[in-house]
Amino acid sequence: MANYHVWHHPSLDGKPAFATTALTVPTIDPTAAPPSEVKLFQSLRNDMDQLRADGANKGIVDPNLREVGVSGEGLELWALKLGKGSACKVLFTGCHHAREWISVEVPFLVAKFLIDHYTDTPSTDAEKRVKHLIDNREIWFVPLVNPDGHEFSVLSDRLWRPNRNAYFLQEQDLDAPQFGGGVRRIHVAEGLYRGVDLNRNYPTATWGQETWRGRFPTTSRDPADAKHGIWAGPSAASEVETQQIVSLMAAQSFRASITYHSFSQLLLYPAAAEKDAFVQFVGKGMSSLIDANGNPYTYESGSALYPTTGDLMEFSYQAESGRPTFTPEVRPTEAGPESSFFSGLPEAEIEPTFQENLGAALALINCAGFDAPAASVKVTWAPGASVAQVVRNGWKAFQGFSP
Amino acid sequence: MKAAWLGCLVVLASGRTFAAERVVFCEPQVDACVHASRLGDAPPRGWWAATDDGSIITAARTGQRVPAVLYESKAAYQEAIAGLRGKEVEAAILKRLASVRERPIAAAPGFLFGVAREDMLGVIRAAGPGDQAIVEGTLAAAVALAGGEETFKDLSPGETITRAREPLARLQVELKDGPVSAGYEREARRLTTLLARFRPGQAKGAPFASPERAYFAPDEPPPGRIDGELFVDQPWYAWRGGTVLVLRSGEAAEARWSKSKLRLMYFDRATFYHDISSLTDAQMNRRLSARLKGPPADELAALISRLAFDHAVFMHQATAVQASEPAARAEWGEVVALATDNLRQAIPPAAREPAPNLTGALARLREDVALLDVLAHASTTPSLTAPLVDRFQAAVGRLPK
Repeated sequence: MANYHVWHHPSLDGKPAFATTALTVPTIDPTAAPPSEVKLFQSLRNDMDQLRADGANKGIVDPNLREVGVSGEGLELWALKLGKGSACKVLFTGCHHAREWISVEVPFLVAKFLIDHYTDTPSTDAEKRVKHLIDNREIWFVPLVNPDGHEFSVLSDRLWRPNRNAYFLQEQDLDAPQFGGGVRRIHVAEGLYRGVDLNRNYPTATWGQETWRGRFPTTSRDPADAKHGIWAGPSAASEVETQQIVSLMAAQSFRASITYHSFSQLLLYPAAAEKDAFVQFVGKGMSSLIDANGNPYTYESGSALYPTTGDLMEFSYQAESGRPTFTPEVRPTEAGPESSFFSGLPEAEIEPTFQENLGAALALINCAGFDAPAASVKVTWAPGASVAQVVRNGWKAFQGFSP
Repeated sequence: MKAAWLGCLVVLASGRTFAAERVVFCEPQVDACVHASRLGDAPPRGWWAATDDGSIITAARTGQRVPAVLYESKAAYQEAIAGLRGKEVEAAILKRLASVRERPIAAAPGFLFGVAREDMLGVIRAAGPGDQAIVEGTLAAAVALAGGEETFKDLSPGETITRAREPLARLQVELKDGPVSAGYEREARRLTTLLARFRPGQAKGAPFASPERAYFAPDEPPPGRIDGELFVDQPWYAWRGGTVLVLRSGEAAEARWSKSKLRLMYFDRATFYHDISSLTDAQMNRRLSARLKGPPADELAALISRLAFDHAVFMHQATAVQASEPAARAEWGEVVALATDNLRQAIPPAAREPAPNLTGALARLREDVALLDVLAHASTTPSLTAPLVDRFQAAVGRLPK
């Protein structure tokens, strides 16, 4: 059974990759005493190092790229650069929200799957497609964007969501613009406010505009909402973790991206891409691949879930207009017991969650090479698997994809 | 018969008797229930019964299945079912069973950790001025139960102090200007001074903190599909056409929540969260109806005790500052001592039952630890739970007799 990762822990110093350590952690039930759950964790540092070494041995992973920057607390944002097709780049990110532990695991396991199943002499269809993707794409994995918040979620507060940066603010009145128009006046009490929601902090055109679902804020300019993890921060891209991802995107011009979250079992597309034929083609295809596993995800606009501003998906679509970018909200469903939400998702569900998302992830990597729906792609046959051949085969090329 | 005989043996061999009476759920084939006092039936799942720790411990030590512990005492059980009728009681028991089973340590219900904390609070409460060793030993046991000093070994000194300051600010808000607050104010100042050595930018003022209470908003329809609880950790419960939900006190004052119509229901959001996740609608209706007059008076005191205890345990558990420069190490030691003193001041007398003396409090702690030890070894993941509880038990064993 797979275990969750921590960024690293001293008890895993010197241990081999994929070794575990037992940590005493608070339960997701805030009424229980703090030390009421013991769980096994793996070191993301050790395991990413192992993947990097394995991939480098096969000549498919950059051995020199270990991270894409550091967090506010100085923890590295571990990264992998996989593939040989530098003209066609794809970005996988996970864990903007600290408590969404499963969102670390899915991109990690996708990377592990691709590296484990790459061979220079493919014999099965699956091996040929993996080789095709890796030979023709450059895939970046940053599975833990918010290491400070994640560590705090593991050891101190299982429901912690934002990062751990803090701002000392003087008493003041703040006029917060509202998404769709208007202004709300907020009285800010003097104090130290900790925790910016990284997925409200990206420098989109709408950054800082507050959004609501009924009377509940879903993007807030009130620093008192920091604890709830919906504070957009004092300014656009104020957070060092956000800055690292923004810089990476500016340098690499990704042609497709995906950022994992939990939960609700949804596949979200950018609201601005509602009528984008190519993005919809890719998204519906990915949705069908997930659904084919028998545990369907609802395919809908990000704004249908709840309106937000300053999120990565919106920023990605703004930065690379017309390029596919999605947000899977993975397991569990809302019907599950509350103890299974967020970091309460049992370890037994890590592997099934990865499996049901694998085909869609591979299809997205594949689609990074195209600019239009398959119907308008000119198919050029060639011996062996080709980019065009994969698209001509449609989504079924990635259906039931498993080791 | 065999089980009963062995039960006597356990009692005789240990020279102890087991005063505590737990309410357990008995499924077919659970021998430990043979001599339990049946309280009700939930066919075909089983029945629930009161039994002593000796029967449970015997079951575990003879390789039998250990029954799920529903309530730590008969009094807690009776409070849970008060006012319920017939099938409502059965439904409450089955919901409680599901709640216990959902807990991560399947056969060692999480609430027993809570029981252990209450026991430790009882010991500290009963300790006199000359019982400093007892208090320190109890906090050492709490640190063991919290995973030991290894857990936070990797924190920087600055982050350690930061993590101490934030819950302390929350505690200070709850204490307001009472007599205990002066001690915590001194502690907060010391921590701020210490933080300035490591993170001067964050030592300009206190962390923002605000009480979080559960209110009944009679005219507020329940939130939608992705509701406040899921998104911003605001638990809610639909009741009498309105909503019970958690709000910050400042937020509650805002016009959008129609302050005049809000009714305070819970001082402690955690108690509210616990209730909505573990009680049936019938139980919730009864509980909320009673709370329309206001939350129980001792709920705020219990919240303060919990916050103070958890803060003191963290101060003893986190050692990063001790590993830093000598001047900071000395200063940190003084602040930890202050936290211990403040804890002793912050714990109010037990409200619901006659407070035991120190001997009684220690006996209660040891008795509950014995049961916790058995359940940890009988859990679905004994390799994880048993070492933790073994360390806790050893720490309790080192307490002065």
